[in-house]
Amino acid sequence: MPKSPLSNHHANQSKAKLKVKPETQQKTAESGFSAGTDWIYTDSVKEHFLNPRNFLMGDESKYHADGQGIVGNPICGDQMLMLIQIDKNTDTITDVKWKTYGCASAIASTSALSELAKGRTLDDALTISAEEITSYLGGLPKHKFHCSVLGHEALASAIQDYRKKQSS
Amino acid sequence: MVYLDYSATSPLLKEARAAMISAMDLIGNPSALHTPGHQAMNKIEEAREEVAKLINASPDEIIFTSGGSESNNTITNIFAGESVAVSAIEHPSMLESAKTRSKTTLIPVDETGKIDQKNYAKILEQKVPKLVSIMLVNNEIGTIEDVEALAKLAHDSGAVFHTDATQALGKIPIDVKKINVDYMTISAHKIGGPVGIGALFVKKGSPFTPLIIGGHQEHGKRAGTYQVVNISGFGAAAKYVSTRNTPLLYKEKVLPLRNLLAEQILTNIPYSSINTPLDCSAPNILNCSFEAAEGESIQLYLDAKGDIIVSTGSACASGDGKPSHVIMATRHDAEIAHSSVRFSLGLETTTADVAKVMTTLPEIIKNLQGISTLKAGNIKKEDSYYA
Repeated sequence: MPKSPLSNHHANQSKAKLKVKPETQQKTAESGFSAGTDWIYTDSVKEHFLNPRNFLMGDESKYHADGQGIVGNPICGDQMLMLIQIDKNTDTITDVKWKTYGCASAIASTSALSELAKGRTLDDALTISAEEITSYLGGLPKHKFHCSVLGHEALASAIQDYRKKQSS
Repeated sequence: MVYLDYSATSPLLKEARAAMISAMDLIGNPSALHTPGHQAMNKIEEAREEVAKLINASPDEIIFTSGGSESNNTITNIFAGESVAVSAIEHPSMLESAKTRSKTTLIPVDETGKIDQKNYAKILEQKVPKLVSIMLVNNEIGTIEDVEALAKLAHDSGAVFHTDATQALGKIPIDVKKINVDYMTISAHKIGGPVGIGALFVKKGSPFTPLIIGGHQEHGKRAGTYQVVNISGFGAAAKYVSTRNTPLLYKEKVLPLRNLLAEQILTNIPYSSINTPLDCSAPNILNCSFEAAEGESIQLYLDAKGDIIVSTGSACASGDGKPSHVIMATRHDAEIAHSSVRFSLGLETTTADVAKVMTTLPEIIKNLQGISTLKAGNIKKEDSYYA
């Protein structure tokens, strides 16, 4: 078969002419939605999706994490990484950062979790469930619940990672 | 709004709307022998002529159905229990209904979505299918199959041949006599007609069993009171396609825009690749993948930040939790399938629309790649573009 003029062209970093600041991600959408009617998601999910909190842009090795955990499988379409900083004296989560590969509810639920976890003691943070995250977001469509609300498992894994490092 | 989801459904043409509004005043049941019934039946037969003309069929070879899914189901129902072979990238209404009703062999495709000739010949020889069904244009990546040659091979082996031309209608010329198929599925709402009406072309003398029974409508081939309003809308849309010669318009006006968008995406968006074979596809479909970014998120950010409307092959948007079976069949990679986005252009699409996409999309992809747990660049370059 004859090759098209675009054959084997593969975009690469060197061709990119992007001048995008990471913080533009946090801009509020200018084109609005009618509340709760246009998407399958609640306003709260939309808000966390469009303006995610505490995400980490780019290379995670530049962020000092006391513990980190990852959960999910890109083959299934969702994966979350949670990174936490801990106040050793109070055993409290002082900062949370996350990265997510996934759909709108995956991004929104990880963002919501980061808000829920910050300031909690480790034991308290371990009680955060998928139901608590979903409830915080005002609900999620049924078919989204099992695949996209995984962040609490990544958080538990991050806490375990921190405790393991402390004990060794 | 920049609407680039024409392959999902197209805006109703004003000509179709006018025909439908006019038909709403027809009070008679078209099957009745009285004057109002006769008037309604005249509208249906006018529409049938227009639809038949569009694909170079005879009006008596056209059966109106509720749409593409019913037409495809009608075909698999005719061959229920028989050996059937369908391409791996058919619409679910063909794939699922064939698998449910028959022992079905999937015909593999190559990386462009074209039928794998060697395997096709082997399946015809070894499986001896009674029915072969291969779509004329794939709905997700736009690949045009060489249906004329494929139908000949099927006929030579003793099989009858069906093609789903839903995405081809109005986009490329269709002539059922030239390509010599036995059955063809078409649908109104992909060409600016109403949703809920389609047709099945059944070549004279081909085996037929009605899917819906209990009425004499359509010469006993499809029971149910005629949908005069929808059929009139379909007829008007078909007439629009014929008189404007929209396949030529798509070739001259839409194809260059589609190719411009492809080139701009590849040039300006790191780790992007094209799933559509640009030199053998419908002029209006462009399917791309963006490594490490997920399709539903891309779709919803485009909607929210740019008022740009597209669709995706991501599992998250599919409703059944599975990524696009078409991208899986062509590129064999779940991440590529999850990250796929389909832009489908229409006659109203402009250069400004393409520019709007390119002012919005690169930033969305950069940000999604930036917060992704996946590292872009893991997909092998040689696997990333086919044409």
